[in-house]
Amino acid sequence: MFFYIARRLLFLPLTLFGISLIIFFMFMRLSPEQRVALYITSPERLRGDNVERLIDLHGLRDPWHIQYGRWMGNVVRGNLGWSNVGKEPVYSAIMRRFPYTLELALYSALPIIWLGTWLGTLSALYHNRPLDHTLRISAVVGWSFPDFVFGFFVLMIFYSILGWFPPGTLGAEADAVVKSSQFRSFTGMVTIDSLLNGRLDVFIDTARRLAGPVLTLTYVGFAYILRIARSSMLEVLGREYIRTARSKGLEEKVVINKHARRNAMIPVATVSGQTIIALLGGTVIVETIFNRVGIGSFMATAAQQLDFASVIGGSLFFGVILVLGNLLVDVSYALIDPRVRLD
Amino acid sequence: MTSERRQLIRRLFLSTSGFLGFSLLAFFCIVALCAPWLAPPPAGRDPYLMPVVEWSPNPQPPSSEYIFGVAGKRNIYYGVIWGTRSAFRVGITVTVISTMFGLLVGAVGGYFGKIVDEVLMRITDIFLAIPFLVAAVVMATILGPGLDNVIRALIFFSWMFPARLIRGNILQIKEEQYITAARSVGVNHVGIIVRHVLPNSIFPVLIQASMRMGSLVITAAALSFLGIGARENYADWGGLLNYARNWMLGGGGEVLRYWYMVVFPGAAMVLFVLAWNLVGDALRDVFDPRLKV
Repeated sequence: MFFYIARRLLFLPLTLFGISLIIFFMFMRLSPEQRVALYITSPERLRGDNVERLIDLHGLRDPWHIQYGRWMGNVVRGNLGWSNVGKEPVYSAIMRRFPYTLELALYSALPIIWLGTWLGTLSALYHNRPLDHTLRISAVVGWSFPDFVFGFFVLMIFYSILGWFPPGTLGAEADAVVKSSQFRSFTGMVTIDSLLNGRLDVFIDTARRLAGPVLTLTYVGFAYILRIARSSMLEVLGREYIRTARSKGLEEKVVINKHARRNAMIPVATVSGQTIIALLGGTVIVETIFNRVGIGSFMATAAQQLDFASVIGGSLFFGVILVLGNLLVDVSYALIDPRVRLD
Repeated sequence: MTSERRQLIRRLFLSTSGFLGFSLLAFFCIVALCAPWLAPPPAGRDPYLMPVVEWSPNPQPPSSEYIFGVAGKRNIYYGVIWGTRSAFRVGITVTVISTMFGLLVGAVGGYFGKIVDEVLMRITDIFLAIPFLVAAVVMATILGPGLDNVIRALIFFSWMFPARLIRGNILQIKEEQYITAARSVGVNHVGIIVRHVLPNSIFPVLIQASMRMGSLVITAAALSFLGIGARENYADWGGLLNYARNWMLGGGGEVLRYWYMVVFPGAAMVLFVLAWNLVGDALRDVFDPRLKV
């Protein structure tokens, strides 16, 4: 146990170093003129013939290892360059948007895990019967739906026809409330902050706007958990101790709920943690379609406008969050269940 | 052909998902092959560039002339037909090349073990640490627009999945007695990997490849949808949906009026991905003995 955790911690800096190297070598394909934006802290300095001077100043024609060291030094100090899309330094642009993305990922994770586990177990219990086939087909169809196509359908039905879930992050009124001086920000997540401030109207507005993206992410994502829950449950149901439990006359309900399901949920728990983290990266499309504020839509806009500093800063941020998140998930599972050994 | 194998293949085609999947795939193959007849391109022009058919930028609903409607001055029907070829090209190229590379990395790591394995697997982990779509967005932005660059970006960040799978399988198979037997009669490393290890772990790789095909086509389309994938006006399903984006968000509550801009390219994409997923599902049911209960 100790060895496992120590090993994981030991590899952490190595993994982060590797990620930074991949990203570095990707953006080294850009010309020095394009890379300048990664180093400056305000746009005024980019005017006119200053660019050539800045290239010299930051040594953008030096050998790559010197450039890497210099860039890393900047990154560690939190200087990720200037974002043209955000009209502010990349680091603060990302930090301001992170709570919105985290909020969306957390709210989507709940229905994905709950629905996936429940339906997966059902599917296994009705193995090869009509219910199983129906669930599996709807899972495969969900799996095949690109999030941007499904997102458009959600917009058409729930916004255009029913008028329930408008796009955007906040309506004009709610936005004014959130930006006013009386509104105190505790977490940066509007749903929680609005409740803490006692503004139920803001909460309802932001929740309505969250519903569409959450619905989209859920439909696209629950199939994976369903598949894991189903096959794990099937495997457990074939075990000897289940037969023993049945043969000693235990009620079927007890056999399934106590003996089978609990053991079958271990792999589900493992992937659930990873699902939450993967959702963070999956918000690029959904945030764009529903016109929400967040790191995903920020990166998408930056990519379209060739704002390289923002794209690279965003990917670096996602990489670090993913590595730390996965480490946290794996270590906590290793602590909870001694049988879990992840490579 | 042994009777057992014949039975397996019969089961593969007669299962519901297998039958549906293979039929859909056959349909798409026919559409891709017959594209020049289904949607004749203007003479002497690159058929993959959707020709301008209307001068007004406003989308037009399906009519007898343009049965799927008009988007971004282009005929949606034309884009859907020729886009089938783009989808096949991206899916097959990326899957084949990334699987080959993944096979190499996974086989070397799994077979030699120890330090070689450790190093290769840590590199794999690092590539897996960046979310796939995010990595593809960065790479595609840097490489610039064009379907070839999309293919490069996707290959660069998708070889890890087969690599991990094949390594795990090899670790299992390596301990089997027939490998020890082969080694004891003096078969060399390459011979053992190629003749004995790979054939025995090829089915999981095929299943995975078929499943990945779908997600790769979705990711490629997502890049085009975001405007950083295939070049503008290239016949590509994601690009067709990109036309829809501004009308959907800018149109206020009028989203529904532009349904045809989403439904036709979207349906093509969903069915294409579904076909590969169904085939993968059927392959797994037939070849993965662990799921037989």
